[in-house]
Amino acid sequence: MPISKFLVLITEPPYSTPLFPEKVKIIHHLLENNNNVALFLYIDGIHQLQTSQFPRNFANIGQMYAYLHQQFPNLQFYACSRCSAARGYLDLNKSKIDDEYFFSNKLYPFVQIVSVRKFGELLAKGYRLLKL
Amino acid sequence: MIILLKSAPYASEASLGSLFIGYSVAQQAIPTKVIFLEEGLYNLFPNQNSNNSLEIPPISDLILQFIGLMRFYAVPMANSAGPFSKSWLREKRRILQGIRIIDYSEVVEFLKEDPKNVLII
Repeated sequence: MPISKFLVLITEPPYSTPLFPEKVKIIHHLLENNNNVALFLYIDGIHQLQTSQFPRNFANIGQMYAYLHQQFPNLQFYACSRCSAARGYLDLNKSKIDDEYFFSNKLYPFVQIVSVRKFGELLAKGYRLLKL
Repeated sequence: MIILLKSAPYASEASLGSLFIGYSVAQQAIPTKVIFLEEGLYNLFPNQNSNNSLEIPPISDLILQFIGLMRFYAVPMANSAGPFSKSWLREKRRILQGIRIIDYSEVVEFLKEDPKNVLII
C-alpha cells in the first residue's frame, strides 16, 4: 500500500544545475519507500524528458528517468501540453489539439502529454506537491 | 494551495505558468491563494500593454480574470520607504484592484493553515 502520494513539479531544464541527479535520487527514495509518485514536467522542465540528450560532463538525466521508469513502472510522467508545444516537442500532424490528443516522438514514450488541468486533478486526488 | 510568486512578469514563464497552475487547482474547488512578493510585485502593475509582441496575455489581465476564483495578496517590501512599501502599494491605482495587501506575519499564518501544497516560484 502506498504510504503517501507526491506530485513532483519540475520547471527547470536538466543541466541548469549539476544537482539534478540528486533530485532524481530524491524521487528514487520516494518510490523505494512505496510512495505513489507523479512527475509533472512544466515550463522548461519539459526538456528533462527529451530522448536524445547527450551531455558530455553531466550524468544523462533523461536516461536516469528511463531507468526509474524501468524500476518503478507505476511512476507517472506528465508533461504540460502547452509547454511541450511551445518548445517544439509536439508532432502537430499527429496530434489532435482540439481532442486533447498530444503526440511527440521527441519525448520518452512513457510520458503522457496532458493539459495543465491534470495538475489540479492530481492535487484533488490527494497528491502532495513537492517542487524540485 | 499557496503560490508564492517571486518572479517578474515577463522575464520568464514563471508568472504565466504559475497562474495557470493556480487556475487548474482552483477549478477543482481547492482554495488557492497567490501571494506576490519581491520581484513578483511587478505583476500587479495595472494597464500592462496588451499589444505587446510576446504573444502572451498581459499578466494583469489574467489576474483580473482569475479574481473570484483565486485570492490574491501582495506583500510590501519590508525595507522600502519608496516603491513597493506598504504606503506606496496602498496609493490609488498603483496596483490592480482586488489585491489585498498583507504582511509577512499573515503569510506565516497562511502557511500554518495550509502547509501541504506550497509552490515558490
